[in-house]
Amino acid sequence: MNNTHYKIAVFVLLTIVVGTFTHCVQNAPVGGSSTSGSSRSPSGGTAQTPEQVLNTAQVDVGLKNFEQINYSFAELTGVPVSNAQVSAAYTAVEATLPSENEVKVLQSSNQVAITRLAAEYCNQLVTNGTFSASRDAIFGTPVFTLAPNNAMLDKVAIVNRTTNAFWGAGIIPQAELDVARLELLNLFDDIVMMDATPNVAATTSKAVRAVCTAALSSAYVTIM
Amino acid sequence: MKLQLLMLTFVLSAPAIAQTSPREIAWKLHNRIAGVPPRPTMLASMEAEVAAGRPEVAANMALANPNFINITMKNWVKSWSNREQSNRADFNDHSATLIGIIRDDIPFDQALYGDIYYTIPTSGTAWANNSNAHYRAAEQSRLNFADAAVLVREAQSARLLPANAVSGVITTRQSGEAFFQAGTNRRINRFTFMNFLCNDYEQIHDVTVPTYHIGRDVERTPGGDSRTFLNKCVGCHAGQDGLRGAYAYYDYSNNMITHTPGAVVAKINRNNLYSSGKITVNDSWENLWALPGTQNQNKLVFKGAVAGVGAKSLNQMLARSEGFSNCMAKKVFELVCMKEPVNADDKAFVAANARRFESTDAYSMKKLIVKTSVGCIANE
Repeated sequence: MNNTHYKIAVFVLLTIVVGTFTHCVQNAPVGGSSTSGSSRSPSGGTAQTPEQVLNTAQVDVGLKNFEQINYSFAELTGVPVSNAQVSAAYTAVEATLPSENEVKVLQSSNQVAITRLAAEYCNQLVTNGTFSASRDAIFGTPVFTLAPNNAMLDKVAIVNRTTNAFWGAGIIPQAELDVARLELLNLFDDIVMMDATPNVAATTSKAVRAVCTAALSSAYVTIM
Repeated sequence: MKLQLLMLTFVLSAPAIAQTSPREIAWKLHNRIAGVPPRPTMLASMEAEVAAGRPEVAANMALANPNFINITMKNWVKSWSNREQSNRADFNDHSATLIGIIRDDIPFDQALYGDIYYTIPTSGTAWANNSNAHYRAAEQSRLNFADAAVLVREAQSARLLPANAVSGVITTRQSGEAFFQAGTNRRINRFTFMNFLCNDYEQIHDVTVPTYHIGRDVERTPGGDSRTFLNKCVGCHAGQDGLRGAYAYYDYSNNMITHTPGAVVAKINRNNLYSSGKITVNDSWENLWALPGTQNQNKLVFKGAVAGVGAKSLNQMLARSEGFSNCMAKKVFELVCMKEPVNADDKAFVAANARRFESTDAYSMKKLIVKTSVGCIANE
């Protein structure tokens, strides 16, 4: 995956994370109602900043830590953690992956590290023939012998199969899932459109890798 | 920062799902217990159990995933084995013994005093009492510690110390490196309270405790002001120095934990800042925080003998306190419920789990994890 594709994948996955993740949080933030990015303290005194509101709010979801993320990716893609390229990628980003399960400490640097690791898992899954069985099970057949403009290539099916494989079928509310899938379809089209040789099978591979990376590194996988 | 805030704002403001489906419950149970998502067939099986009103069966299916031991438990207990409280530390005999106890469902109170130890014959690096390489190599090889043939139970007395000196993970080599090295042998008790009773000394500070156990290395007029001693130092030292005697014969030297019966280690009595202070002459201990009616007895509820000889009896007393059960229930709640028990319902839930953990469930960590996860995921 070249830099352009990588940046697009990162952007889209963050959009998905921000725009579609709605796993429940039962308790409202402490400190009363919020207006214009701030809120009043219970005593009616000093206004709370958004950061303070977040700090005092109680969440009931957690963030997977470095090892949980690595093994989750392996479990979902069928690429073992011992794969040489994956292992090298993990070593490179391990220190930047989340240490704890506390979701409030999630940093953008964590998300970039998650995406880098996911990109390597997807690269192995799509391009390494050793994993063809997993690849076909996740994305369907035929996919990688077809150019993007081939009428036989069903990109909607690719996206749907990817989200079902990585996010679990029947887990996410349909309306929420539809929004996420639409973003992944847009990503697929963008990758194809920006490629110098858009109508060859190799471009399909690039687009699938981008969709794979975005879906695998999303909050649906890393939040629990 | 903006991205983080935006992301969390969406998370926090998202509407609660009115009715969590059995499938989603199964998904969450598996992710939180095993640390990885379930495979489709496992998800379907767990979903069926949840739908049939048997969420504990579903949770136990997740417990059977090797990643429960290899990832979730390993990372959970690793932070108890080092001063930095980090789960990025190397695997070691302290952590190996804890996950072994959990895997084999040995009553978890024995983690503090049992003659239990775990090694890894297939590690590829020989076990040694002065090195952690054996455990580090096993982790780097990604061996499956959920397999009883890989992580093998032994008696600690066959490896490290005589049976009468063994006290669960407290006397492992890693514990020696982290908690007995240098210092004055106070650190081991402090970290035992932090890791297994969920209270650092500041949280059990009590200046009403009698001062006769305070060592002579504690300045009575720090900065020339005895009020500092009476109002601050006493709060921790009166209690902790009463317990310190249990470790009078332990030390860490040449990368090994050592035990010299009858010979108090020099570092305990070396510094003399107040000659009338206590001189440790043997390994007897007394828990002054357990005096009836004191704030810490009310808080931690120590039971049975509150004075004794040696580390094993001390840690048996600690492990059988309500403070230990409360701490384990709280840690498990935070592990699988992904939040701290702050509201009244959560606190009551944790307290009930603690009482069941120490009574009918006979300190089964697996049962505590199953019942806690079912309570906060399946019944939310």
